[in-house]
Amino acid sequence: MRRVGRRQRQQTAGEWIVTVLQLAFLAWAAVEAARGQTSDALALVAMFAVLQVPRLLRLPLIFDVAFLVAWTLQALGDAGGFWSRFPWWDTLVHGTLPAVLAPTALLLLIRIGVLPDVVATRGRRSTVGTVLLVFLIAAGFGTVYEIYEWFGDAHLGTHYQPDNDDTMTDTVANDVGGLVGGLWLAAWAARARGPR
Amino acid sequence: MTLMADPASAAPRRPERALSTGDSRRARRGRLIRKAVFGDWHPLLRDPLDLLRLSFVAAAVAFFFADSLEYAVRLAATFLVLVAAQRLRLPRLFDLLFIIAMGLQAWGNALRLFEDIDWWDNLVHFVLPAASVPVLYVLNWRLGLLPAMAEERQPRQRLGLVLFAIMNGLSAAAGYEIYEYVAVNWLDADLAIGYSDTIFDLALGVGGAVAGGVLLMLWSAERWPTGRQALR
Repeated sequence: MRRVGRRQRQQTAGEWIVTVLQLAFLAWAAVEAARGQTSDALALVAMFAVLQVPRLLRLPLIFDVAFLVAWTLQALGDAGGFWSRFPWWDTLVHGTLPAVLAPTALLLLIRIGVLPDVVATRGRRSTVGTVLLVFLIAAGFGTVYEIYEWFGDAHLGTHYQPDNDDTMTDTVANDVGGLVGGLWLAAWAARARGPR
Repeated sequence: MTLMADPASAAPRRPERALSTGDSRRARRGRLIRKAVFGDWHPLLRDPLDLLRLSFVAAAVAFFFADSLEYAVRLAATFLVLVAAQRLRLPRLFDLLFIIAMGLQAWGNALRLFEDIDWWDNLVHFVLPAASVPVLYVLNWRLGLLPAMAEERQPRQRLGLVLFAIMNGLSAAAGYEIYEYVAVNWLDADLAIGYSDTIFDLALGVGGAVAGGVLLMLWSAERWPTGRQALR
């Protein structure tokens, strides 16, 4: 059975554009370091490393693009100060990141044989399974992340969460993002499998 | 030889026959007790678990006639969820755990135990995800989305089982927190919620989900069936 989601490595124009955009994160990190914003610079370097995940997993180019979009939103929040500039930016990021990361996590878990391969199989049940598993991964991880934010604020001196309203908005955004990510992966897998 | 053989053979035969009659009686009694405890009496009313399920609708009717419409609706809704669980033909232990967990929730509301007993809320937030995880697994198995537990033979497949269970439990816990938030802010429900309470509830949900996952893992390791089996 052909594995859906394992790409043939080809140096296309798209690959080059993605590489240049990824390197822009390093350039941005250098600028922030020069401005004395060490934590922002380190965050951007870490994001550059995370952007390599689709390539390491040999996922199709669309995953690189999705990673770029999601992590650019995160970077703009961290280094660009968008968290404070736009009140809705946090919700946007809480919806976008799971929509991208949860499908990737599902493909990884399938590859290492932990979860059944619902993506490569045809049929309505597999489609529902794909959407459900992506949603569960996103919602589950989102819940743990909310606990981490509380722990950080209570014990590590961070200021992630102002109140319960914010936590609940984040949780809903995570769930919606997971649902969108599941639908996206199911649609993409159906297209990647091609006609019968 | 015949004469000798007859009494000799008859003598031990009597107690043998008596023993076998006693055995069969005991076996019959054992079967009756097993049937009384484990069912299956009738497709619609199979065992004491179904009686427990029915107690929720009886309580709903009682609350309705006592002019407590809210509790009547809550208990009726719980009954419907439990009927849906019955349709899944869960293994008896999973079924019992789920009925107990839903009972803690429903009776906690109806008898105001959430208000009167400090730790009741924590108990429900732990037990409900723990009991829901096996039910959700069987639901997904019935839908053909996941393999039967006995088929999960490799350790990493069992790890997947636990992971799936934990994700399910966490999602359920998050869903419940969203419900509480909506109930308080939009439906004027009388629930005490706050940031720390929400996080503590979620942490209990994590613990409950892990407990449910471990139960599934043990079930799978024993190769016990994923669905309810008829008594032999």
